[in-house]
Amino acid sequence: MKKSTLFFSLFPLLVPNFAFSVETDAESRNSSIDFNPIVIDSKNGTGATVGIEYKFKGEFAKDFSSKDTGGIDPNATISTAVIGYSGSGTVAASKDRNPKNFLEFLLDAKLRYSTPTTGTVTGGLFSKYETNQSFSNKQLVYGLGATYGKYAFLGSNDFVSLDANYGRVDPKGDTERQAALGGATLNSYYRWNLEFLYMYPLKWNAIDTVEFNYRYFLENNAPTVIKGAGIDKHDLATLRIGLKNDLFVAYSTGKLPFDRKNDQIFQIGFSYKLK
Amino acid sequence: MPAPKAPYEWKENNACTATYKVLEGDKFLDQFEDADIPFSKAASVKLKNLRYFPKTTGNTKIIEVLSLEIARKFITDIVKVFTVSKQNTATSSAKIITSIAEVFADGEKTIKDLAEVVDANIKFPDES
Repeated sequence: MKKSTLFFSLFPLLVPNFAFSVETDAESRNSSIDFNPIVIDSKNGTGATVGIEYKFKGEFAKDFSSKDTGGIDPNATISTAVIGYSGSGTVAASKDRNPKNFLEFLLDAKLRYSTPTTGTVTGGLFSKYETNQSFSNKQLVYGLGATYGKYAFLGSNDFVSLDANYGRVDPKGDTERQAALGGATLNSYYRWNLEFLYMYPLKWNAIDTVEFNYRYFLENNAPTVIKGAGIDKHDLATLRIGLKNDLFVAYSTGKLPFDRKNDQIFQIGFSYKLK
Repeated sequence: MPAPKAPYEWKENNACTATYKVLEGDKFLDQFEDADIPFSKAASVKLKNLRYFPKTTGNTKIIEVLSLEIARKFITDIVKVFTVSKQNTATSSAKIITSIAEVFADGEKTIKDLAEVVDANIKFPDES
């Protein structure tokens, strides 16, 4: 056995998985860090290297809710300011052989407010930064948003929600946009996006649940060529009928923007699982 | 060094039966039918397989809001059925709702995981 093969085989044993979490004071909680030794195949013919995969998350919360000292009050108002962070990435011994993100870091600051009559609303600022290990491919997106939701909206166990955001989009790699712009540089732009969700547990004959989701994206002040190409707006509507035993029929129509393709759960048209 | 925490046991105590009853009951959250998921098999059922968990979106902000809403309804229903109090009187009701919401928000958590957080926060008559 070659020395390098032996080393790669033993590396996970030599460096044990390392994870811990901490519960701290009332103002901060749920912090956790995970490390995982890995062997990375660069997939571009430059060979393998060893590395460490990591992820961490946590939040700092300031609770303004009422401090009731009696019994449990299900009608208690929840009012909290939260700063949440999470990150993940891969550090390789050789940065040229690391095809993964060196760092993907998310930070958000929001207010959370919930009462039994009005429902729950959260809103605030968010940002996301990602880079490869050589820092030659970086992206920064940020914006603000608010989300509202109400359980038992029309029935006793249905749910309605609306999520609205406005933020900066990095179009790196968007071939459709590049084609529309011709030789012009792919600059970042700002975009509105809305998402509506309604779920109803119908429980009628074979139908168990009905779920409707609609997403809408609108570029702010889009250049004429982008409007002309019809890529300043995108929307996607999905109706899913849940049947007994985890079976379903779903129908999707529309299209998501380039940077949100991975958010598409069902293919366009009909999808189903019927047996 | 403290002894490792023993895994939570799914059994017919008030915390587990209340969790099951409120999740299953037609008059409560009605998340499944007892014929499909009897009490003895409920422990390992993942929350993402229940009716409340969205199947058309992975939007974490919507799931966060939904989780707070369903956690409040869950506790409202528990209080209707059982005479309960706080395990820790210094904890606010809002914090208990938030702790239970954190479980509802994670679809990979199981019904047993939910019962464990319920038991840690809510004191039932069989613990008096």
